[in-house]
Amino acid sequence: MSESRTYDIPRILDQMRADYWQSLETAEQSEQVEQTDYMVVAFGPQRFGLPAATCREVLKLPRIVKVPRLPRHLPGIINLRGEIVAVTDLRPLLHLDAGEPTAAFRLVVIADGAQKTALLVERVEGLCAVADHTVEALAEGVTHEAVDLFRGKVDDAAGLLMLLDTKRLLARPELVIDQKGTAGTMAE
Amino acid sequence: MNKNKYVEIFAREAEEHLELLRQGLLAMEKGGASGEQLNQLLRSAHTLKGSARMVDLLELATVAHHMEDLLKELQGGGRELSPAVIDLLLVATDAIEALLAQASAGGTLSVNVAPIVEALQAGSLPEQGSAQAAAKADSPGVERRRSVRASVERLDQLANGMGEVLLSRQALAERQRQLRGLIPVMDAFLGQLHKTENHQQMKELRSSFVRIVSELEQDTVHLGYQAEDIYQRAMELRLLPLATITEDFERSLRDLARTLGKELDFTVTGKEVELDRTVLDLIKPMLLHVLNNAVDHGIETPETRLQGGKPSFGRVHLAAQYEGAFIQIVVRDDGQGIDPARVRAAAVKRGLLSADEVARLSDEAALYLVLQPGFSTREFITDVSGRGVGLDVVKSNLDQVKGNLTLTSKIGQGTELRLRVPSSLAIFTGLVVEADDETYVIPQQYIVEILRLAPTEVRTELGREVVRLRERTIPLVSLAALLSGVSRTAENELPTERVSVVVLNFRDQLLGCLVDRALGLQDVVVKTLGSQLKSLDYISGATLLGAGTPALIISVADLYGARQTTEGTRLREAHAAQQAKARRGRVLVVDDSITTRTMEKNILETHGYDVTIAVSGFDALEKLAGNSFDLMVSDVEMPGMTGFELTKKVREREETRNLPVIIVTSLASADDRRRGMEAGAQAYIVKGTFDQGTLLETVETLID
Repeated sequence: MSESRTYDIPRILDQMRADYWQSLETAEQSEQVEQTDYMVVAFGPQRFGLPAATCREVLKLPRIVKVPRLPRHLPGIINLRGEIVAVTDLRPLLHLDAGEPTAAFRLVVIADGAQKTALLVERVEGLCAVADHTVEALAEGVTHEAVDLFRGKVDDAAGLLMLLDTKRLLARPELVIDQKGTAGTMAE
Repeated sequence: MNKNKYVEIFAREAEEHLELLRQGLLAMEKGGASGEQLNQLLRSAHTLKGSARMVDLLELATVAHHMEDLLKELQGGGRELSPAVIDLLLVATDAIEALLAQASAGGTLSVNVAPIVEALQAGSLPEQGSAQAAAKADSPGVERRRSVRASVERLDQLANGMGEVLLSRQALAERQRQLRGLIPVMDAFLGQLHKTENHQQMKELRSSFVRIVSELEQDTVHLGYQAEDIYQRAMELRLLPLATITEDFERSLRDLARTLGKELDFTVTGKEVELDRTVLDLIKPMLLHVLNNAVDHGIETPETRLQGGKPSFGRVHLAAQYEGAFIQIVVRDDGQGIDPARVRAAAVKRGLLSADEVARLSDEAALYLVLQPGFSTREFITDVSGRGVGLDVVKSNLDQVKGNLTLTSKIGQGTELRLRVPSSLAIFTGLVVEADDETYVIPQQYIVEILRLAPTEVRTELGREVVRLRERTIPLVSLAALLSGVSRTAENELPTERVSVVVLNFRDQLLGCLVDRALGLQDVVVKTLGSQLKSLDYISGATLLGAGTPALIISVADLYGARQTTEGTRLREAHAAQQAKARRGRVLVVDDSITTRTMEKNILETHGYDVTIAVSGFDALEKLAGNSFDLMVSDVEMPGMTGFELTKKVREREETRNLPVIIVTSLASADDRRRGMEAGAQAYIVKGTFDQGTLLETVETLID
């Protein structure tokens, strides 16, 4: 009788251990697949999400030195610890009102490979994790030329958040100025 | 020109051929040589030779060249295939591999190829020893242990960091001034303290404070000296002696003179003069073209020289010397000189200027026309210095190094070209000026003087603003107006207060530049404008001033471009038209070597051509049948069908009868050239002297 009541303790412990790891892995996987971190920035009531992986740092507004003959969305250059970086103002590209930036504005330095720019924003709200399955396509009707700058949109507690695609943004020809053209120069 | 990426492509191609050579040689050792096996080895050696020349690995090319010769002897039966010969060829293969490894590592070549070349010429290894030793002992590791390789970018980062330290020192100095400012405040407070005890305590506090401030000042000065010292050292890491480029010149010029049947005495002084790597890289093609021009166009044949009462050998002298932060380089030849009349005639013929316009130019000014793109007094294209390409390269690279140039020539006596380049691009002295509320920097080397003028001294002549300076009339541009892109109307915007005019000298021409204020000279560190601003009109870069605020650096060459007279505008239009034409050009590149193909394709595509690749003569004919092309660039030695055969076939076919053909090859003899011309090619470029300029200019000239 007593023998039939014996438990195979090592086997049960192994099983419990396996179950525990299994549950951990499942939890991890579900988190990894479903969420992306965004840096939430805003112009007035309009909120935008920048993929956090491409954001390098947030700066208080330094002196922006004007560069002659540049379009409105490139207001100038700044000194980023000894390196010259151009500033990009998204407002003209997104058809938003673009007044003079105040001291409260911020620069968000974003980079993808060798491409780097300092995005001018009115305010930075902070980081926010967005579940990927909640991202919706942009509603029809906003199909102006800027539409391919967005991954989509999401409605969170604080309202509508438009998710920018920084890789595509940095690859936009409007953001790169080559007035002399690469043809005709000898150096590669 | 940055050839690194081509070296990488070449390395991949070369590895395959080295493997083929090695396997083929070992197979022959076992089973004797078949004709096909030898052919395969010959092709590999030949391809290695040609490709190595393309990427400037001349030593490697030399070894491959002699291997090829030895293999040809074997093929022709002039030499027996013995185990010793196979050993020798294997040693040579090892040597090529070692050279390749060094080239890939980017170090200077230190394998001694002389004993290997000697052995290949003799057809046998001297004895157990020197040649193998040369191939093996100097493996790349030895060189690398003695020095460390650092990329220019990393040195820049180091210098950037030190620049920031120097800025922090300025901030510290400011804090000290603030602390010192507290001392009078303490004194005032001390006067109010009546209680002896308090007075005494405060007095002690004050003297400690004063002592600490003084010590802090000393420490800051010390820190500043050290930071500056380290900064200088970081900058010096980028310096290399001129000898690193002139040694190559000596051989290539000697070869060139020989090809042209001329006698040459080429001398260099100032080889020890040190320049920044980037400057060296930019002036190397400039100097090479100037020197090639001197030998090709300047120096006469020995017979002509003797008739003219000169020694039979022509003298070309390159002299370099320091001039403050600049290097003066003079290239002088005692050849026939440049004839202004011929230059004028050629300029009219090429449509660069009208007959009226050239007539108005002084002889001195006419000389500078040879710097214009597309200029040449020659009719037949050679691969040497042909269509004035050389001096065009000089011009574009000179703009990049912010250098200056003067050209003087006397018919029958020779030509002298003086280049003045900064020894480093990373730091220079500039004049800080204000225009339109922004601060800009003008490189000091272009500045003659700064004038303070009353508004009445600015005049209008023929609708253009000018100023008078010591009997000379100098055209005037307004920096603010130029930069904003708004052209001033002479009448309503003439200044009303005293103005500052910076008088500039560029290629011996004066130009006045109107600024709001000139703030003074300063040493500045040059920064690139970052990934987003690839190139800007009138701006060549940026720097950081005192408080770390960016300031833009003015491109003086661009200012002159903006103030071009009508002929200048026409030249620019002509150049633009040329480029537009280039975009329409479709070019077929035929070459069995991937290094050559890739290099030619990249060069042409970078300059707007639409390039299609063919890997053999048959492939080329197939592609020609299905598409229309404006030009074909072909190699000669290819398996199956040679470039000459291909050219003949192209000429025979109705639809391609008029297709211009450029032959690019490592075959350099006069006989080969003749065969090329007979086959119907329009131009012939030898890989040994191959560079972008020659290929591009030849393509441009041949595509209407």
